[in-house]
Amino acid sequence: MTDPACPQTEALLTRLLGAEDPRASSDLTAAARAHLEVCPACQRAAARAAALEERLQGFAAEIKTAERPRPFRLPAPAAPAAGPARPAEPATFSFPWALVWGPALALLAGLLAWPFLATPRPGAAGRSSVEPLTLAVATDVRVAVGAVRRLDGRPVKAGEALTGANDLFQCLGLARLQFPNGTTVALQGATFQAFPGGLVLKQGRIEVDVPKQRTVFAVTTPVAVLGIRGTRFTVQVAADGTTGIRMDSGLISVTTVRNEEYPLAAGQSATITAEGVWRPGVIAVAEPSAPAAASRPEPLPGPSATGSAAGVLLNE
Amino acid sequence: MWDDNQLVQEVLAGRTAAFQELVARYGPGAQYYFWSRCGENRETAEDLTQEAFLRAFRSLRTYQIGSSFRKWFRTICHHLAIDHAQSRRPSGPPGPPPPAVPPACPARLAVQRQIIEEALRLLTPRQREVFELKYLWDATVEEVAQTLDLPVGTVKTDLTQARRRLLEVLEEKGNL
Repeated sequence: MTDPACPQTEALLTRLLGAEDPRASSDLTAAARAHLEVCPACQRAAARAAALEERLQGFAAEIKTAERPRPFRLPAPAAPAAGPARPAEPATFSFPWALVWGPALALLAGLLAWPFLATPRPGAAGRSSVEPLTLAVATDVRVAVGAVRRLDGRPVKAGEALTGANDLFQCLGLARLQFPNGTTVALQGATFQAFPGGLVLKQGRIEVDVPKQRTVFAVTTPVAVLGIRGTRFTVQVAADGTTGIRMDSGLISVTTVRNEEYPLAAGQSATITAEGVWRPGVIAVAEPSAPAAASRPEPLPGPSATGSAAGVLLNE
Repeated sequence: MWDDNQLVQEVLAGRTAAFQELVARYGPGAQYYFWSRCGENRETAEDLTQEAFLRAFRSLRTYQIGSSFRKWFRTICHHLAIDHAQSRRPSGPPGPPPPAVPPACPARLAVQRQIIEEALRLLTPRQREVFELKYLWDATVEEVAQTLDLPVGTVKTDLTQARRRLLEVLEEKGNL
Protein backbone atom coordinates (compact mmCIF):
# COMPACT_ATOMS: atom_id res chain seq x y z
CA MET A 1 0.00 0.00 0.00
CA THR A 2 2.66 2.51 1.00
CA ASP A 3 5.24 3.93 -1.31
CA PRO A 4 8.70 3.50 0.20
CA ALA A 5 9.94 6.48 -1.71
CA CYS A 6 8.39 8.88 0.82
CA PRO A 7 7.84 8.33 4.57
CA GLN A 8 4.85 10.70 4.54
CA THR A 9 2.87 8.83 1.91
CA GLU A 10 1.09 6.49 4.30
CA ALA A 11 -0.07 9.31 6.56
CA LEU A 12 -1.23 11.35 3.61
CA LEU A 13 -3.17 8.44 2.14
CA THR A 14 -4.83 7.74 5.49
CA ARG A 15 -5.79 11.38 5.77
CA LEU A 16 -7.31 11.42 2.30
CA LEU A 17 -9.21 8.15 2.77
CA GLY A 18 -10.88 9.56 5.86
CA ALA A 19 -11.82 12.83 4.21
CA GLU A 20 -15.28 13.88 3.15
CA ASP A 21 -14.06 13.75 -0.44
CA PRO A 22 -10.66 12.12 -1.05
CA ARG A 23 -10.43 13.91 -4.38
CA ALA A 24 -10.07 17.23 -2.61
CA SER A 25 -7.07 18.18 -0.56
CA SER A 26 -9.02 20.50 1.69
CA ASP A 27 -8.67 18.14 4.65
CA LEU A 28 -4.90 18.31 4.44
CA THR A 29 -2.82 20.74 6.40
CA ALA A 30 -1.03 23.52 4.55
CA ALA A 31 2.27 21.73 5.06
CA ALA A 32 0.87 18.50 3.65
CA ARG A 33 -0.53 20.31 0.63
CA ALA A 34 2.83 21.94 0.03
CA HIS A 35 4.54 18.58 0.32
CA LEU A 36 2.04 17.02 -2.06
CA GLU A 37 2.91 19.53 -4.74
CA VAL A 38 6.51 18.42 -4.85
CA CYS A 39 6.41 14.72 -3.90
CA PRO A 40 5.73 12.28 -6.77
CA ALA A 41 5.14 9.36 -4.38
CA CYS A 42 2.48 11.26 -2.46
CA GLN A 43 0.95 12.46 -5.72
CA ARG A 44 0.58 8.84 -6.76
CA ALA A 45 -1.11 8.05 -3.45
CA ALA A 46 -3.47 11.00 -3.88
CA ALA A 47 -4.26 9.82 -7.40
CA ARG A 48 -5.13 6.36 -6.08
CA ALA A 49 -7.46 7.85 -3.48
CA ALA A 50 -9.09 10.03 -6.11
CA ALA A 51 -9.53 7.10 -8.48
CA LEU A 52 -11.14 5.07 -5.72
CA GLU A 53 -13.54 7.89 -4.93
CA GLU A 54 -14.52 8.19 -8.60
CA ARG A 55 -15.15 4.49 -8.68
CA LEU A 56 -17.27 4.55 -5.52
CA GLN A 57 -19.27 7.55 -6.71
CA GLY A 58 -19.97 5.65 -9.92
CA PHE A 59 -21.08 2.65 -7.89
CA ALA A 60 -23.40 4.85 -5.83
CA ALA A 61 -24.89 6.38 -8.96
CA GLU A 62 -25.47 2.93 -10.40
CA ILE A 63 -27.20 1.73 -7.25
CA LYS A 64 -29.42 4.80 -7.13
CA THR A 65 -30.52 4.09 -10.68
CA ALA A 66 -30.93 0.35 -10.34
CA GLU A 67 -32.52 0.31 -6.89
CA ARG A 68 -35.15 2.92 -7.52
CA PRO A 69 -38.12 1.60 -5.55
CA ARG A 70 -41.51 0.86 -7.02
CA PRO A 71 -43.81 3.88 -7.13
CA PHE A 72 -45.10 4.40 -3.65
CA ARG A 73 -48.85 4.78 -3.55
CA LEU A 74 -49.78 6.88 -0.62
CA PRO A 75 -52.44 5.80 1.82
CA ALA A 76 -55.39 8.14 2.27
CA PRO A 77 -54.16 11.73 2.66
CA ALA A 78 -55.86 12.14 6.01
CA ALA A 79 -53.78 9.42 7.63
CA PRO A 80 -50.69 11.41 8.60
CA ALA A 81 -52.39 14.75 9.16
CA ALA A 82 -51.59 16.52 12.37
CA GLY A 83 -54.07 16.05 15.14
CA PRO A 84 -54.97 13.64 17.84
CA ALA A 85 -53.99 10.06 17.39
CA ARG A 86 -56.59 7.82 15.86
CA PRO A 87 -58.67 5.94 18.38
CA ALA A 88 -58.22 2.23 18.33
CA GLU A 89 -60.57 0.83 15.77
CA PRO A 90 -60.54 -2.17 13.52
CA ALA A 91 -58.10 -1.21 10.85
CA THR A 92 -58.86 -2.14 7.29
CA PHE A 93 -57.20 -2.22 3.91
CA SER A 94 -57.67 -1.15 0.38
CA PHE A 95 -55.96 -3.05 -2.40
CA PRO A 96 -55.30 -1.06 -5.51
CA TRP A 97 -53.08 -3.72 -6.97
CA ALA A 98 -55.66 -6.43 -6.60
CA LEU A 99 -58.46 -4.22 -7.84
CA VAL A 100 -56.56 -3.09 -10.89
CA TRP A 101 -54.84 -6.29 -11.90
CA GLY A 102 -57.50 -8.67 -10.69
CA PRO A 103 -60.08 -7.64 -13.30
CA ALA A 104 -57.41 -7.45 -15.99
CA LEU A 105 -56.21 -10.97 -15.28
CA ALA A 106 -59.79 -12.16 -15.02
CA LEU A 107 -60.58 -10.66 -18.42
CA LEU A 108 -57.52 -12.34 -19.89
CA ALA A 109 -58.52 -15.67 -18.36
CA GLY A 110 -62.02 -15.22 -19.74
CA LEU A 111 -60.71 -14.53 -23.24
CA LEU A 112 -58.43 -17.56 -23.15
CA ALA A 113 -61.29 -19.71 -21.96
CA TRP A 114 -63.80 -18.38 -24.46
CA PRO A 115 -63.40 -21.22 -27.00
CA PHE A 116 -64.21 -23.75 -24.30
CA LEU A 117 -67.18 -21.80 -23.04
CA ALA A 118 -68.58 -21.19 -26.50
CA THR A 119 -68.49 -24.88 -27.40
CA PRO A 120 -71.75 -26.61 -26.40
CA ARG A 121 -71.11 -29.70 -24.35
CA PRO A 122 -73.44 -32.62 -23.93
CA GLY A 123 -75.45 -32.46 -20.76
CA ALA A 124 -74.36 -28.94 -19.99
CA ALA A 125 -77.89 -27.65 -19.70
CA GLY A 126 -78.73 -30.09 -16.98
CA ARG A 127 -75.69 -29.50 -14.84
CA SER A 128 -75.73 -27.71 -11.57
CA SER A 129 -74.55 -24.16 -11.31
CA VAL A 130 -71.13 -25.29 -10.06
CA GLU A 131 -68.98 -24.26 -13.03
CA PRO A 132 -65.26 -23.63 -13.18
CA LEU A 133 -65.17 -20.39 -11.33
CA THR A 134 -62.20 -18.91 -13.06
CA LEU A 135 -64.28 -18.88 -16.24
CA ALA A 136 -67.04 -16.92 -14.62
CA VAL A 137 -67.02 -13.20 -14.02
CA ALA A 138 -63.88 -13.38 -11.99
CA THR A 139 -64.08 -9.91 -10.55
CA ASP A 140 -66.66 -11.25 -8.11
CA VAL A 141 -66.29 -13.27 -4.99
CA ARG A 142 -68.19 -16.47 -5.60
CA VAL A 143 -69.38 -19.41 -3.61
CA ALA A 144 -67.46 -22.40 -4.94
CA VAL A 145 -68.82 -25.14 -2.75
CA GLY A 146 -71.74 -25.19 -0.31
CA ALA A 147 -74.02 -22.27 0.33
CA VAL A 148 -74.17 -19.12 2.38
CA ARG A 149 -77.05 -16.78 3.07
CA ARG A 150 -77.67 -13.14 3.67
CA LEU A 151 -78.89 -12.11 7.08
CA ASP A 152 -82.39 -11.71 5.67
CA GLY A 153 -82.34 -15.40 4.84
CA ARG A 154 -81.88 -15.19 1.05
CA PRO A 155 -79.46 -17.95 0.02
CA VAL A 156 -76.41 -17.61 -2.20
CA LYS A 157 -75.76 -20.95 -3.80
CA ALA A 158 -72.66 -22.50 -5.27
CA GLY A 159 -71.58 -20.65 -8.38
CA GLU A 160 -73.33 -17.41 -7.45
CA ALA A 161 -71.58 -14.18 -6.61
CA LEU A 162 -71.63 -12.45 -3.26
CA THR A 163 -72.85 -9.06 -4.34
CA GLY A 164 -72.61 -6.05 -2.12
CA ALA A 165 -69.40 -5.50 -0.23
CA ASN A 166 -71.34 -4.12 2.73
CA ASP A 167 -73.67 -7.10 2.91
CA LEU A 168 -73.20 -9.48 5.76
CA PHE A 169 -73.32 -13.19 5.00
CA GLN A 170 -73.57 -16.29 7.10
CA CYS A 171 -72.32 -19.78 6.42
CA LEU A 172 -74.48 -22.21 8.33
CA GLY A 173 -72.27 -25.22 7.77
CA LEU A 174 -69.27 -25.56 5.52
CA ALA A 175 -68.65 -23.62 2.32
CA ARG A 176 -65.79 -22.39 0.22
CA LEU A 177 -65.39 -19.02 -1.45
CA GLN A 178 -63.35 -18.27 -4.54
CA PHE A 179 -61.81 -14.83 -4.86
CA PRO A 180 -60.83 -13.23 -8.16
CA ASN A 181 -57.13 -13.27 -7.32
CA GLY A 182 -57.18 -17.05 -6.85
CA THR A 183 -57.53 -17.06 -3.09
CA THR A 184 -59.87 -19.65 -1.65
CA VAL A 185 -61.47 -19.39 1.76
CA ALA A 186 -63.12 -22.34 3.50
CA LEU A 187 -65.86 -21.21 5.90
CA GLN A 188 -67.17 -22.91 8.98
CA GLY A 189 -70.03 -21.27 10.85
CA ALA A 190 -68.76 -17.88 9.76
CA THR A 191 -70.42 -14.47 9.64
CA PHE A 192 -68.55 -12.27 7.22
CA GLN A 193 -68.36 -9.63 4.52
CA ALA A 194 -66.42 -10.30 1.32
CA PHE A 195 -64.90 -8.09 -1.30
CA PRO A 196 -62.43 -8.85 -4.09
CA GLY A 197 -59.36 -7.96 -2.06
CA GLY A 198 -60.28 -9.55 1.23
CA LEU A 199 -62.75 -10.62 3.82
CA VAL A 200 -64.07 -9.19 7.08
CA LEU A 201 -64.66 -12.00 9.54
CA LYS A 202 -67.15 -11.06 12.24
CA GLN A 203 -67.33 -14.47 13.84
CA GLY A 204 -66.59 -18.09 13.05
CA ARG A 205 -63.74 -19.96 11.48
CA ILE A 206 -62.06 -19.72 8.09
CA GLU A 207 -59.16 -21.38 6.37
CA VAL A 208 -57.45 -19.12 3.88
CA ASP A 209 -55.26 -20.25 1.01
CA VAL A 210 -53.60 -17.39 -0.82
CA PRO A 211 -51.72 -18.45 -3.97
CA LYS A 212 -48.00 -17.98 -3.89
CA GLN A 213 -47.64 -15.23 -6.39
CA ARG A 214 -47.80 -11.49 -6.31
CA THR A 215 -51.19 -11.53 -4.71
CA VAL A 216 -52.44 -9.43 -1.86
CA PHE A 217 -55.28 -10.48 0.34
CA ALA A 218 -56.53 -9.33 3.71
CA VAL A 219 -58.63 -10.71 6.49
CA THR A 220 -60.07 -8.22 8.94
CA THR A 221 -61.42 -9.33 12.30
CA PRO A 222 -62.89 -7.15 15.06
CA VAL A 223 -59.48 -6.81 16.68
CA ALA A 224 -56.92 -7.22 13.91
CA VAL A 225 -56.02 -6.96 10.26
CA LEU A 226 -54.02 -9.72 8.58
CA GLY A 227 -52.01 -8.84 5.48
CA ILE A 228 -51.20 -11.94 3.56
CA ARG A 229 -49.10 -13.13 0.66
CA GLY A 230 -48.60 -16.71 -0.53
CA THR A 231 -49.98 -18.19 2.63
CA ARG A 232 -52.20 -20.84 4.13
CA PHE A 233 -53.63 -20.29 7.57
CA THR A 234 -56.69 -20.56 9.80
CA VAL A 235 -58.49 -17.74 11.60
CA GLN A 236 -61.15 -18.13 14.22
CA VAL A 237 -63.13 -15.32 15.78
CA ALA A 238 -65.22 -15.64 18.94
CA ALA A 239 -68.36 -13.67 19.69
CA ASP A 240 -66.40 -11.10 21.68
CA GLY A 241 -63.97 -10.60 18.80
CA THR A 242 -61.13 -12.65 20.26
CA THR A 243 -59.16 -13.84 17.25
CA GLY A 244 -57.02 -16.95 16.96
CA ILE A 245 -54.62 -17.45 14.07
CA ARG A 246 -52.72 -20.57 13.14
CA MET A 247 -50.21 -20.52 10.29
CA ASP A 248 -49.75 -23.51 8.01
CA SER A 249 -47.36 -21.92 5.55
CA GLY A 250 -46.05 -18.55 4.43
CA LEU A 251 -45.92 -15.35 6.39
CA ILE A 252 -48.51 -12.79 7.43
CA SER A 253 -48.34 -9.43 9.08
CA VAL A 254 -50.95 -8.79 11.75
CA THR A 255 -51.91 -5.27 12.81
CA THR A 256 -53.96 -5.21 15.97
CA VAL A 257 -56.50 -2.57 16.97
CA ARG A 258 -53.75 -1.17 19.16
CA ASN A 259 -51.91 -0.43 15.93
CA GLU A 260 -49.18 -2.90 16.82
CA GLU A 261 -47.75 -5.05 14.06
CA TYR A 262 -46.61 -8.63 14.46
CA PRO A 263 -45.25 -11.07 11.89
CA LEU A 264 -46.53 -14.61 12.05
CA ALA A 265 -44.65 -17.33 10.18
CA ALA A 266 -45.38 -20.93 9.23
CA GLY A 267 -45.97 -23.16 12.23
CA GLN A 268 -46.69 -20.26 14.57
CA SER A 269 -49.98 -19.35 16.17
CA ALA A 270 -51.33 -16.49 18.23
CA THR A 271 -54.42 -15.08 19.83
CA ILE A 272 -55.50 -11.46 19.90
CA THR A 273 -57.80 -10.86 22.81
CA ALA A 274 -60.97 -8.79 22.64
CA GLU A 275 -58.91 -5.92 24.05
CA GLY A 276 -56.40 -6.26 21.22
CA VAL A 277 -53.65 -7.84 23.32
CA TRP A 278 -51.31 -10.10 21.35
CA ARG A 279 -50.58 -13.53 22.85
CA PRO A 280 -48.19 -15.60 20.78
CA GLY A 281 -48.35 -19.33 20.64
CA VAL A 282 -51.82 -19.60 22.13
CA ILE A 283 -55.10 -20.46 20.48
CA ALA A 284 -57.75 -19.50 22.98
CA VAL A 285 -60.85 -19.27 20.83
CA ALA A 286 -63.85 -21.52 21.27
CA GLU A 287 -64.86 -23.70 18.33
CA PRO A 288 -67.64 -22.15 16.29
CA SER A 289 -71.03 -23.61 17.00
CA ALA A 290 -73.88 -21.49 15.75
CA PRO A 291 -73.65 -18.55 13.39
CA ALA A 292 -73.68 -15.04 14.74
CA ALA A 293 -76.82 -13.59 16.24
CA ALA A 294 -79.62 -12.91 13.83
CA SER A 295 -79.66 -9.23 14.57
CA ARG A 296 -77.64 -7.41 11.99
CA PRO A 297 -74.52 -5.84 13.42
CA GLU A 298 -73.53 -2.35 12.47
CA PRO A 299 -72.21 -2.49 8.90
CA LEU A 300 -68.50 -2.15 8.45
CA PRO A 301 -67.16 0.21 5.81
CA GLY A 302 -66.85 -1.22 2.36
CA PRO A 303 -63.63 -1.62 0.43
CA SER A 304 -63.59 1.94 -0.80
CA ALA A 305 -63.87 3.31 2.70
CA THR A 306 -61.58 0.79 4.28
CA GLY A 307 -58.51 2.26 2.66
CA SER A 308 -58.83 5.52 4.50
CA ALA A 309 -58.72 3.94 7.90
CA ALA A 310 -55.36 2.28 7.84
CA GLY A 311 -54.02 2.73 4.38
CA VAL A 312 -52.46 0.21 2.10
CA LEU A 313 -50.26 -2.40 3.59
CA LEU A 314 -48.57 -3.58 0.46
CA ASN A 315 -48.58 -1.46 -2.59
CA GLU A 316 -47.56 -2.00 -6.12
CA MET B 1 -33.87 22.05 -2.67
CA TRP B 2 -36.09 21.51 0.33
CA ASP B 3 -34.61 19.81 3.30
CA ASP B 4 -36.18 16.73 4.84
CA ASN B 5 -37.90 18.61 7.66
CA GLN B 6 -39.59 20.98 5.23
CA LEU B 7 -40.86 18.02 3.25
CA VAL B 8 -42.20 16.36 6.39
CA GLN B 9 -44.00 19.55 7.35
CA GLU B 10 -45.55 19.67 3.89
CA VAL B 11 -46.82 16.13 4.26
CA LEU B 12 -48.20 16.83 7.72
CA ALA B 13 -49.97 19.86 6.31
CA GLY B 14 -51.79 17.59 3.91
CA ARG B 15 -49.62 18.12 0.81
CA THR B 16 -48.75 14.47 0.66
CA ALA B 17 -47.05 14.67 -2.71
CA ALA B 18 -44.02 15.90 -0.79
CA PHE B 19 -43.66 12.40 0.57
CA GLN B 20 -42.75 11.20 -2.90
CA GLU B 21 -39.66 13.37 -2.73
CA LEU B 22 -38.64 11.61 0.46
CA VAL B 23 -39.24 8.29 -1.29
CA ALA B 24 -37.07 9.37 -4.19
CA ARG B 25 -34.40 10.63 -1.81
CA TYR B 26 -34.12 7.61 0.44
CA GLY B 27 -35.75 4.82 -1.55
CA PRO B 28 -32.67 3.51 -3.37
CA GLY B 29 -30.57 3.49 -0.20
CA ALA B 30 -33.32 1.73 1.72
CA GLN B 31 -33.87 -0.81 -1.01
CA TYR B 32 -30.18 -1.60 -1.19
CA TYR B 33 -30.14 -1.82 2.61
CA PHE B 34 -32.88 -4.48 2.55
CA TRP B 35 -31.40 -6.20 -0.45
CA SER B 36 -28.03 -6.64 1.23
CA ARG B 37 -29.47 -7.69 4.59
CA CYS B 38 -32.46 -9.80 3.66
CA GLY B 39 -31.09 -12.55 1.48
CA GLU B 40 -30.20 -10.43 -1.53
CA ASN B 41 -33.66 -11.02 -2.92
CA ARG B 42 -34.89 -8.18 -5.04
CA GLU B 43 -38.58 -8.81 -4.55
CA THR B 44 -38.19 -9.01 -0.80
CA ALA B 45 -36.19 -5.79 -0.84
CA GLU B 46 -38.88 -4.03 -2.85
CA ASP B 47 -41.62 -5.24 -0.53
CA LEU B 48 -39.73 -4.23 2.58
CA THR B 49 -38.94 -0.83 1.11
CA GLN B 50 -42.63 -0.25 0.46
CA GLU B 51 -43.44 -1.40 3.95
CA ALA B 52 -40.80 0.88 5.45
CA PHE B 53 -42.20 3.93 3.70
CA LEU B 54 -45.71 2.95 4.66
CA ARG B 55 -44.67 2.70 8.29
CA ALA B 56 -42.96 6.05 8.02
CA PHE B 57 -46.01 7.63 6.47
CA ARG B 58 -48.33 6.19 9.08
CA SER B 59 -46.22 7.33 11.99
CA LEU B 60 -45.07 10.64 10.59
CA ARG B 61 -46.87 12.42 13.40
CA THR B 62 -44.35 10.93 15.82
CA TYR B 63 -41.39 12.39 13.93
CA GLN B 64 -39.87 15.35 15.73
CA ILE B 65 -39.42 18.25 13.37
CA GLY B 66 -35.83 19.41 13.53
CA SER B 67 -34.36 16.01 14.08
CA SER B 68 -32.82 13.85 11.37
CA PHE B 69 -35.34 12.22 9.05
CA ARG B 70 -32.55 10.04 7.69
CA LYS B 71 -31.85 8.68 11.14
CA TRP B 72 -35.54 8.25 11.94
CA PHE B 73 -36.29 6.46 8.70
CA ARG B 74 -33.21 4.28 8.92
CA THR B 75 -34.35 3.15 12.36
CA ILE B 76 -37.63 2.06 10.79
CA CYS B 77 -35.68 0.13 8.15
CA HIS B 78 -33.48 -1.42 10.82
CA HIS B 79 -36.46 -2.64 12.85
CA LEU B 80 -38.17 -3.91 9.75
CA ALA B 81 -35.09 -5.89 8.75
CA ILE B 82 -34.95 -7.42 12.23
CA ASP B 83 -38.65 -8.31 12.07
CA HIS B 84 -38.09 -9.87 8.70
CA ALA B 85 -35.11 -11.89 9.91
CA GLN B 86 -37.00 -13.11 12.96
CA SER B 87 -40.04 -14.07 10.98
CA ARG B 88 -37.90 -16.14 8.66
CA ARG B 89 -35.97 -17.85 11.42
CA PRO B 90 -36.43 -21.60 10.85
CA SER B 91 -38.18 -23.45 13.63
CA GLY B 92 -37.16 -26.93 12.50
CA PRO B 93 -33.79 -28.39 11.61
CA PRO B 94 -31.53 -26.12 9.61
CA GLY B 95 -31.96 -26.27 5.87
CA PRO B 96 -29.26 -26.42 3.25
CA PRO B 97 -26.69 -23.63 3.32
CA PRO B 98 -27.40 -20.66 1.09
CA PRO B 99 -25.81 -20.74 -2.35
CA ALA B 100 -22.42 -19.17 -2.61
CA VAL B 101 -23.62 -16.96 -5.41
CA PRO B 102 -26.59 -14.81 -4.40
CA PRO B 103 -29.75 -14.90 -6.49
CA ALA B 104 -29.49 -12.97 -9.68
CA CYS B 105 -30.50 -9.36 -9.49
CA PRO B 106 -30.82 -7.66 -12.86
CA ALA B 107 -28.94 -4.62 -11.71
CA ARG B 108 -26.13 -6.78 -10.38
CA LEU B 109 -25.32 -8.09 -13.79
CA ALA B 110 -22.94 -5.24 -14.15
CA VAL B 111 -19.57 -6.75 -13.37
CA GLN B 112 -18.28 -3.51 -11.94
CA ARG B 113 -21.00 -3.41 -9.36
CA GLN B 114 -20.47 -7.04 -8.49
CA ILE B 115 -16.80 -6.49 -7.79
CA ILE B 116 -17.51 -3.68 -5.36
CA GLU B 117 -20.26 -5.66 -3.66
CA GLU B 118 -17.88 -8.54 -3.14
CA ALA B 119 -15.42 -6.12 -1.64
CA LEU B 120 -18.11 -4.66 0.62
CA ARG B 121 -18.71 -8.09 2.09
CA LEU B 122 -15.18 -7.97 3.48
CA LEU B 123 -16.01 -4.94 5.61
CA THR B 124 -17.19 -5.13 9.18
CA PRO B 125 -20.92 -4.48 9.66
CA ARG B 126 -20.25 -1.02 11.06
CA GLN B 127 -17.84 -0.10 8.28
CA ARG B 128 -20.46 -1.17 5.81
CA GLU B 129 -23.11 0.93 7.57
CA VAL B 130 -20.82 3.93 7.37
CA PHE B 131 -20.06 3.28 3.73
CA GLU B 132 -23.72 2.91 2.74
CA LEU B 133 -24.80 6.01 4.61
CA LYS B 134 -22.01 8.02 3.04
CA TYR B 135 -22.50 6.89 -0.54
CA LEU B 136 -26.06 5.64 -0.85
CA TRP B 137 -27.88 7.85 1.68
CA ASP B 138 -25.85 10.94 0.73
CA ALA B 139 -24.82 11.68 4.29
CA THR B 140 -21.84 13.75 5.29
CA VAL B 141 -19.41 12.34 7.82
CA GLU B 142 -21.13 14.34 10.55
CA GLU B 143 -24.55 13.11 9.46
CA VAL B 144 -23.30 9.53 9.46
CA ALA B 145 -22.06 10.04 13.00
CA GLN B 146 -25.42 11.51 14.00
CA THR B 147 -27.35 8.69 12.37
CA LEU B 148 -25.30 5.94 13.97
CA ASP B 149 -24.82 7.72 17.30
CA LEU B 150 -21.07 7.55 16.93
CA PRO B 151 -18.33 10.15 17.44
CA VAL B 152 -17.21 11.83 14.23
CA GLY B 153 -13.69 10.51 14.78
CA THR B 154 -14.95 6.95 14.93
CA VAL B 155 -16.84 7.40 11.69
CA LYS B 156 -13.75 8.83 10.02
CA THR B 157 -11.74 5.85 11.21
CA ASP B 158 -14.36 3.43 9.89
CA LEU B 159 -14.56 5.28 6.61
CA THR B 160 -10.79 5.27 6.26
CA GLN B 161 -10.58 1.55 6.92
CA ALA B 162 -13.48 0.80 4.60
CA ARG B 163 -11.99 2.80 1.75
CA ARG B 164 -8.57 1.33 2.34
CA ARG B 165 -9.98 -2.18 2.15
CA LEU B 166 -11.87 -1.36 -1.01
CA LEU B 167 -8.75 0.22 -2.48
CA GLU B 168 -6.75 -2.92 -1.77
CA VAL B 169 -9.37 -5.23 -3.24
CA LEU B 170 -10.02 -3.17 -6.34
CA GLU B 171 -6.31 -2.73 -7.03
CA GLU B 172 -5.71 -6.42 -6.46
CA LYS B 173 -8.39 -7.24 -9.01
CA GLY B 174 -6.97 -4.66 -11.40
CA ASN B 175 -10.23 -2.80 -11.24
CA LEU B 176 -8.98 0.64 -10.42
